[in-house]
Amino acid sequence: MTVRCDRRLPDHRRFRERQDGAVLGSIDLVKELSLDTLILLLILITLCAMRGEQRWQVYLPFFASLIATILLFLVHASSSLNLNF
Amino acid sequence: MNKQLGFWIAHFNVVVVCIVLLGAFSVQFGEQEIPCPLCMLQRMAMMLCAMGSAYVILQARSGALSIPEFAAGYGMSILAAVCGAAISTRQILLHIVPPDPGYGDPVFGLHLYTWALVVFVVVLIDSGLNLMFAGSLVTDQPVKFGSVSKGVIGLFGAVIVANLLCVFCQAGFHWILPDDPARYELFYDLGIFNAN
Repeated sequence: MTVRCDRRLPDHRRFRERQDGAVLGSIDLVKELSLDTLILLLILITLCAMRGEQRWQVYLPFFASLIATILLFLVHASSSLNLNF
Repeated sequence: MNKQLGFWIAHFNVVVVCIVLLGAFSVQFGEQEIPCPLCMLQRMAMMLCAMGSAYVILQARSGALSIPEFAAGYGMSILAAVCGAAISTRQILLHIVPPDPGYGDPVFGLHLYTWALVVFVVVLIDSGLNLMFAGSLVTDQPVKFGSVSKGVIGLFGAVIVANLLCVFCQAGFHWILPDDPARYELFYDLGIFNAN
C-alpha cells in the first residue's frame, strides 16, 4: 500500500484537472508549475560551469538551483503538519 | 599523511552519492515506484551535495588544489545538505505517525526518505571533518587530474542527465509533478500509452 507523498491534493484526478488548467494557461497555476526539470538543468549547468575559471560562474547557477529547490519545497510544504514540537 | 588525500576523498564522496542515486533508480524501475515531488527534491539536494566535491575535483585540473577552493566546495555541500535534510525531515514527519504505512516500500528497514536524511547527516559530518583537517588534507603537492577523475565526473554528469530525463518523462509537457504520482505523463501526452 502506498500513500500520498504530500497531502495537499486528495487524488490523482485533481492533478489531471490541474494539468488541464495549466495547459489552458490558468494564472492560478503559475506558482505550482514544476521547476524540477529546470532545477536539474541548472544543476547540469553548474557542473559544466565548473570547467570555467571564474568562481561566480559556478556560484551563480549553484545558488540559483539551491534557492529554486528551497522555493519548490516551500510550495509543496505549504500546509503545516498537525504535530506538537 | 597522503598528500593527495583530500583530493581522493572528494572522489569517494561523489561516487557514494552516485551509488545512492543509482540505488534510488533501481527502486524506481525495479519495484515500479514512481518518485514523488519531495523524493525528487531530495535527489536534487543530493546532487548539489556532490557538486561541492565535484568542484574540489575540477579545481585540481590545474595540477594544484588550494585550501580556499577546498573549503568553498565543502561549503557548497553543507548548504545543500541542510536544504536536503529539511526536505527529508518534512517527509519523515508526514508519515511518522502510525498507522500511516509510509510512502513506498522500506529498503533495509527504512523508507527512502529516511535513508536520505541519513545521507545528508553523513554529508554534514564528512564536510565538517574535511574542513577541520583541510590544512592536512590539502598541501602544495601537485595533484593529478587523470582518467579516474574524468570518469567520476562523467559518472556524476550521467546521473544528473538520467534524473533530468526521468523527471521530464514523469512531468510530461505539463511541467507539473503530481503529489501522488502514478504514471509517466510524457508517454500519455505523446499518445504512446492510452490514458483510458
